[in-house]
Amino acid sequence: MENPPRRDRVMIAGSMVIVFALSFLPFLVVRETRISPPATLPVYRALGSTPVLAIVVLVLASFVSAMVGASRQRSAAAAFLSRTLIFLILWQAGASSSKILEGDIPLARVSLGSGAWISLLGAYMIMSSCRIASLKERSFTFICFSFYAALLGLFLSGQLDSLSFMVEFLNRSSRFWQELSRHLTLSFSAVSLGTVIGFPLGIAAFRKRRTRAFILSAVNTLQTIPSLALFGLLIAPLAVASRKVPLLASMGIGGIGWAPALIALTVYSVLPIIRNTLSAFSMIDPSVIESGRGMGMDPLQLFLNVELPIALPVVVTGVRISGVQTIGNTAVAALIGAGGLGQFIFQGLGEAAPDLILLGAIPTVILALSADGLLRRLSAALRPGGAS
Amino acid sequence: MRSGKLLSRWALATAMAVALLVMLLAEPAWERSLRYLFPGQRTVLYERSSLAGLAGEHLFLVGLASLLSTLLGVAGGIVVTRKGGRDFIPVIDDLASIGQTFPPVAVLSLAVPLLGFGFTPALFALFLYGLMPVLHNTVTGLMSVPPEVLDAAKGMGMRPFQSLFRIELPVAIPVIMGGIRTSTVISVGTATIGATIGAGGLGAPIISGLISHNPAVVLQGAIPAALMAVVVDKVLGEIEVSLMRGR
Repeated sequence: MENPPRRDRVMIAGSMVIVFALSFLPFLVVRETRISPPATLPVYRALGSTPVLAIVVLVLASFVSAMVGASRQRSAAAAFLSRTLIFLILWQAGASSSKILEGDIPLARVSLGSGAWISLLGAYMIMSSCRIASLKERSFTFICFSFYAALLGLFLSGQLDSLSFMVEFLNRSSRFWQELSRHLTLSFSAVSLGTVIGFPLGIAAFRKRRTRAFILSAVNTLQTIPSLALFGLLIAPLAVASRKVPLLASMGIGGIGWAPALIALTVYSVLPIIRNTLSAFSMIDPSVIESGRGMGMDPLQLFLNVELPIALPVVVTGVRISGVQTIGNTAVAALIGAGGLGQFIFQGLGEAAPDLILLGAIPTVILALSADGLLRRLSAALRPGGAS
Repeated sequence: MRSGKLLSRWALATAMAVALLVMLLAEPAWERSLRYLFPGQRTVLYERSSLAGLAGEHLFLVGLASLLSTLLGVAGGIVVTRKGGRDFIPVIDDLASIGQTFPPVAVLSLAVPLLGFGFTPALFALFLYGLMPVLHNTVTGLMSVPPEVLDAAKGMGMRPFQSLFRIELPVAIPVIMGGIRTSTVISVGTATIGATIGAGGLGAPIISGLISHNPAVVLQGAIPAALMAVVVDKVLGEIEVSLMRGR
């Protein structure tokens, strides 16, 4: 947008956030056992002098490139430095916590302190100041992929295994994968059902004016209802239904469990899809349809060859919104016995065990972010004319 | 005609609010109908607090959180749209879209390791989660003011803050209100989950009923919570519409 050379305020702010967080806030939090009171370690006591020096150099470099440099070099610097910082902070926190565990307190739990979290946020700010437009697509993709690969490598190498969150994960890894797959299955089924229901309803709303107001206000109201309340509202009727109809009961449909969860999640997933389908089809320029008709297409051909390709990216955006929402709501569904990652969250809340909460919450967030990213790319790829 | 329609829409919102209020106060009616529906249950009422008290807790939590996110969100939106802050708009947009991607349950439960159990972490989570829609809409609203209008204001000799209060904010206010509405409605929903971290409110009977396998008690939280969300959405929606008309 702007012309160089100007100072990049976002990058400066991000660097200052890191400096502030690491100088004044605890980097690691150590508990002697899983639930004992925390003691904090600042960064210069948690890490050796070399890593601290490395962090200082990286932050300084980003500070300097924010003050001088043309926008392309600056973007490259932001893209590279920020990711290196994130990697370094995580890696060193992991390494330092293994050192603590090897030392005098083997049962200790070491977790990231507020300083580490906030400096990650600062690194993120630097990362987002990178203007992708001014970087070559290919070099940017390269930086991104090597970053993800490095994170994955860090995760697999066991360097992080002494962080409390990973300890919790390793202690229940088989249950973790089970709950994760349950979570994914439930969310995926709900969004698929929601798409199958929502897409035709959206088209119906587009074709018929009168249905439109009705459909929209009905799903709008449903969407407003809090998820926990909707789960609650479904329990009683489903319990009665399964008592009256043995077939339902034999299928496992009852007041609690996956059935009310799936119904409520489907209901929620429908609205964004209807709304986006409707606006996608309303967006289509009538003259395009006219010219298709002029070429002798029948309504079906017109729909498949003209309307659908134009509308699809926006419909996929609806699926994205509903997918992200559903992944979050599925976590709540654990409260009615549907399982999934919410199980860890609520068990952790019940036992006042913060690491267990993290074990449920962080993967839920990662799932939501990945679904968001993947469907964003899909929607961009479907856009006529290809990517972005 | 138009004003008649407006009146009837407000009447609908008011009627729903009154229905909610009556429902909250009519505890004997709850007991009678729940006993009829669930003859097997020994207790059908949530015993630790009255329904009106729970609703009050719920509204207080949501109201305070929304107030805080509105104050900070609008202030932040104003700062970011001034001359020195514009560089931060992409960051705000980014954070807003990431913030929307974070599930509310995750935000709520992550507040516990930081702040412990009870009212404070719930307030903090609701505030943080509600901040982004307000901030985002404030920025969108303020940026939607055409530059010619701003130039004209400057030409008329308006000082920056005069132009802000007399021109920019009045233009932006319906959009800002839309953000407040989104954030408040989400808060009403998230606050029901707040019962799991000890924040009370209408989620308390739902959770307690789920734990004790008592669907009657669950309904006592679920029905008012659902209705409250719909009423809040309706009322704030009407305010938004009338702000848009009044422009």
